[in-house]
Amino acid sequence: MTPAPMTHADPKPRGGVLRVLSEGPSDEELIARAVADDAWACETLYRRHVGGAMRTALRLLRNRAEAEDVVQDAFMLAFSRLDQLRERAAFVGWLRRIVVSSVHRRLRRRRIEPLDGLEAEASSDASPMVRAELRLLDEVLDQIRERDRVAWILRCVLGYKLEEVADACDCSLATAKRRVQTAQAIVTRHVSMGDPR
Amino acid sequence: MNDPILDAPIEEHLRAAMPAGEADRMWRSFKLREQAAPARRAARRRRAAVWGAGAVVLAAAAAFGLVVLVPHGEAGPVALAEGHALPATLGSQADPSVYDLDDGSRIVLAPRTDAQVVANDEVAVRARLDRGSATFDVRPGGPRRWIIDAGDARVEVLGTRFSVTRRGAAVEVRVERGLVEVHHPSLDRPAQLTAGQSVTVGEVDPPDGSGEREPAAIVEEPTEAEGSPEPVAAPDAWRTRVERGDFVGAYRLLGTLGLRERARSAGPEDLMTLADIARRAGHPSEAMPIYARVVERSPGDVRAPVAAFSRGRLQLAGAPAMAAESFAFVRAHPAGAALFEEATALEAGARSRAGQGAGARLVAAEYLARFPEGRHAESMLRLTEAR
Repeated sequence: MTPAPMTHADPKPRGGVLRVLSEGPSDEELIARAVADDAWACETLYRRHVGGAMRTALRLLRNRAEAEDVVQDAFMLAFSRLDQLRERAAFVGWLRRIVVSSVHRRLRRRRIEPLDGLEAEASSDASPMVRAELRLLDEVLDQIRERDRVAWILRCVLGYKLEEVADACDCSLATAKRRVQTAQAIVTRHVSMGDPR
Repeated sequence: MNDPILDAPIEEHLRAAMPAGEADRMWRSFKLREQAAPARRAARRRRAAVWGAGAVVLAAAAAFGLVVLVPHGEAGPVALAEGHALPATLGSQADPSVYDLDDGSRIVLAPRTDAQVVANDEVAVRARLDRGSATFDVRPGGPRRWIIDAGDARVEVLGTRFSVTRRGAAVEVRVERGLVEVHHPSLDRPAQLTAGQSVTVGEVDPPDGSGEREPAAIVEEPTEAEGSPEPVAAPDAWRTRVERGDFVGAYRLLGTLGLRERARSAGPEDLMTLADIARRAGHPSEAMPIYARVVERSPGDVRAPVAAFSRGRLQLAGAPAMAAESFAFVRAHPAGAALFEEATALEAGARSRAGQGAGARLVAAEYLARFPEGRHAESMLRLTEAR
């Protein structure tokens, strides 16, 4: 199926009013087309959300190879169940839940995969102090109970709102808050990270 | 206490989860996984059948007081021949390490080689080569797919003997027997190697030691016997080179004049191939007019946005304003949807570099409206805030 024509934004500002002229298909539209076996819609949906899914899986697992596996499996599962998704506009949250639940499964049976850690993911311009702090954080995170650790990383590393953490972890807002705080208490004892934002 | 991380969210101190170009590789890998899914499901069914049959046999054995032994190696991960589990970390010895496996396959690691087994089940073995050189002698017709990751390169195989050597970002794959498929961001399509062939992908140091590096995908043919006559290239031999992913070889066969000559009368598909040959062989200035020809001659063709996108990327370094126009063309094209996100981010960046601040901010805002969680969201946000 040929995608709908798209117009690009006029680069010249008009009267200071920001006008977004290009509206590509929404997730909802893409899902409707993907359910009808439109390969282009599937690819677009994948490309649109694979970055976010990879970021979540990578920070939670702290291992690139494992994270990629989880993300690919998550998309495989999501695409096989697209027709069951009631709120199609909520695809992002649904995909995130699948990723987080796959991460939990992966953590439970983690045996052979080595942990790369946050330090291995430090950006090239990170100072030695930052690297040392990330290494310390890696050690501390390993001491935290899995559910608390996942909630803390979602909140404090990835910066999700507490509501989003609760949704991704499939728990109540109060539980999500408690998990973040429990993990934070341990982190604070070992690393001076401040309170969760 | 002055905490370096307290000053900014932790995510800001980490590498991007998805470097540029990674989505393409992951999408291709996803499609391969999708194709392999029926085999995976079949393996699961077989395993379930083995368990089901095993339960029936055990019940019968219990009834008759017999002991039944489940045959070894039918399902589950590949193990060492002596029965122990295959370790997750391989190599790192001063001497070569040899791993004989229970399916008849063998892994030999050169001294000071680091490799990790990252997945191992009934349908696939996946290993990552971090450093050094390893030879994989995979039993032909075995039940598992073997995947070796080395830097950005991925080697997929189903029964062969081949070696993978990693030197920094450069990865060399050499096939002794059978057929393997090599995937790498520098390759438009996977390179298939047969016995005697090798490919080097990634950044390769030139032999003259000039220090200049170029992204390469060099396929070496089996060495000809001494004294054999110099093979004469067939008129379309360059196409065979392209099919193998050997763009440098194709460019050598065509030459600058041959490239121009063929571009004069070629249709959009051949034009794209010729432009890719020039670009991938390290001659971007020769690729640019060919991409332009696709856009100008066949603006309605589905390849036109791809050509404009490739041209835009080449223009970015020296002509950002022209690059911005190329990306704008991609975004406006009905067949440019798959490139839309990248083209939007690149157009915003190009306009910013060209000093078109207002245009850059508008396009960046459009990106954010369209892809709030996109992989360029952070940089686009910075552009919208720039004054």
